Amino acid sequence: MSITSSDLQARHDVRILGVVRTALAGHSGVPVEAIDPAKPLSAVPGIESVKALRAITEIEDECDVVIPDDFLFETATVAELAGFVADLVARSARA
Amino acid sequence: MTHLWHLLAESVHDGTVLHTPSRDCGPVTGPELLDRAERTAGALLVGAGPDSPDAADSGRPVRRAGLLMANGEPWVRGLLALLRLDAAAVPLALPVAFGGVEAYAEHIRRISEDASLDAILVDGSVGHRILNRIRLVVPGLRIIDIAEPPADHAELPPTGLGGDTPAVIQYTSGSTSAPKGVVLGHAAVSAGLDAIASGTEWSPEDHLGLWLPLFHDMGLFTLLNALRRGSRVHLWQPGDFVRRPLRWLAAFAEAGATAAPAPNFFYDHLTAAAAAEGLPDGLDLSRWRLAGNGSEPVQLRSLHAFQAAFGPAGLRPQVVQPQYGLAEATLIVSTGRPFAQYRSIDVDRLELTPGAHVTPLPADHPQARSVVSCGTPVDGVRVRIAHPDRPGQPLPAGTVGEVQISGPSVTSGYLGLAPEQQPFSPDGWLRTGDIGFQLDGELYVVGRIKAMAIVHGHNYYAEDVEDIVRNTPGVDRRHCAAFAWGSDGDERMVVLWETKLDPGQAAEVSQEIRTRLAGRLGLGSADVCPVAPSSIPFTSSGKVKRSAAALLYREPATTAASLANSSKGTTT
Repeated sequence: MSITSSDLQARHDVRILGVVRTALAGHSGVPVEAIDPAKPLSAVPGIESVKALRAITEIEDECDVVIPDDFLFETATVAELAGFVADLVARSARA
Repeated sequence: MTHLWHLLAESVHDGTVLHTPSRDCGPVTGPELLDRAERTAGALLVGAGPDSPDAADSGRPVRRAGLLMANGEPWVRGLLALLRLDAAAVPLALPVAFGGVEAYAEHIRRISEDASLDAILVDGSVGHRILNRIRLVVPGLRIIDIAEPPADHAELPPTGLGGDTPAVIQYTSGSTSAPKGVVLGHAAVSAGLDAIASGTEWSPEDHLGLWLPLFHDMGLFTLLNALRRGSRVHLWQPGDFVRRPLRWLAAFAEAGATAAPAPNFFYDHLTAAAAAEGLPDGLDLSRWRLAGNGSEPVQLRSLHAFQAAFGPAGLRPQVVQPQYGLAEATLIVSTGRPFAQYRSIDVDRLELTPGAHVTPLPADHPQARSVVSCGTPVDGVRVRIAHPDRPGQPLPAGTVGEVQISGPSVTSGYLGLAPEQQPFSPDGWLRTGDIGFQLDGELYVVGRIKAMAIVHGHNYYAEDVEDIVRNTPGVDRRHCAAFAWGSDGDERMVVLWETKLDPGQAAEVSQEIRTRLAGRLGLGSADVCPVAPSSIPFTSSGKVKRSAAALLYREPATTAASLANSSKGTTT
């Protein structure tokens, strides 16, 4: 995806990272600034499984995608989750 | 002798249908399910199959197998196949979202070693990454995919005797460091299912709607009871409910389900969703007959708020009934009878010490604590109260002590523990570790022994301390944890509370907390520590994890700064 990245794509990715951080912050009860994109999802302050599921549901609703359960068990960072969602959005736009 | 395979085979009929709406599998009738289970048992008998990386192990009989699947037909079928082969089933908790795969695989390794598992049954609902990690840390373990049963029947050996042969080994939650497997034989499970049926006045026409995970005792044994009565079952995923609670409730009502068990947080979660989004159009809850409320402390306000929120959708009064149960009793110990009035009593919280007589107080008294009745013991389970220090000597009604139980549904003990480590009184009653009292034949549970500190000869419950701390102004989002620290003779209550305040202001709030604890509980000495926001660990249902919080306290410097940098991803 980086090869074809345009300004438009970059703006799209920034928007999705914003959606992901907002959802994680909202459901774990911390300010958006506390959600560090470089940190693993498990390090989101105060996150536990019910809150995580609700945050994921909000991201799915906002972006109109379905995030497979498998990804939730990844030791991924916040930015990687956003990248994964951006890929899903791009794929569903092409389909 | 009692054998669960034969009991279930006698019980199910074409009207016994297992629906799994969120899985790619149509409804399966009871007889079909048993047929599929027999074919699956044949596959377990002959081994993993030539295409499997585990083929070298084929032919080795499965004696104890883990069930590692999302809720679905394969989970239930895998359990039945193991029963058919006289193998013990070990339900395994699924990983939690954002939990990370390494810690999870390590947890599975501990259970696998403790239970001497020789296989884990899977169905593709748990990702390859997790299974590969498990293969890495538990190299000898066979991982057998039972997503589809084989087309043909293999010749199966006759079933064994059942009776006390282990049918299920249930690992209780929260025991990650030292897992303890509750051993339940065929006869105990059968008695436990009878106790559920009798306590809930289950009729074969009842229809179970279940979203609880099957690896949890409340999910597993409620499901088995429905099959045992030949009833219809709708089985969802926990995520179906957690993600979209009202959509799930609408599906539950639409399915025509009459019964659903759940912990207290389920009712709060639905009440909150209804307040935020309104009731779904056309929601009709009039067929809902019984909603058990168990596995965490029952809150009277949750019961009332739920009724107020869903009464307009046809929910009948007192459908939700408080229950008390534990895996060690297969499941149920006591329950409010269907549609019974709630009973709660306001008692002096200072008189909830083992050996003390409960003292009723007016509800608005500052020392009053409201305790909800968990109903009367179910048929077949005997309940008594005894002092934790003199477990062989029962106490009279109205006296506080440890809840002890006895009866045919009670476990024979924890797997592999020496007799002196087993949780039994000298005369053979199971010690639950829960503190409570009996009044007019009803059981009231007030807390856990471990969540109780004895300071200067007085007992203080963490729940009581937390109740006061969370209502003290300045405590961030009401987040706090209290737990006992130290041992005999030198025990104290520790309080962690979350704050964003600077150290000076935080010290003032700590002082106010101490003043309140002294004034309201008579707890004159407590170690009160401010910590950074979001550092106290909570379970998925919002219960504070006291033992994990205690680990934070053990760190050399329990300050806001040190806790802010500690790991917080340790959900189980």
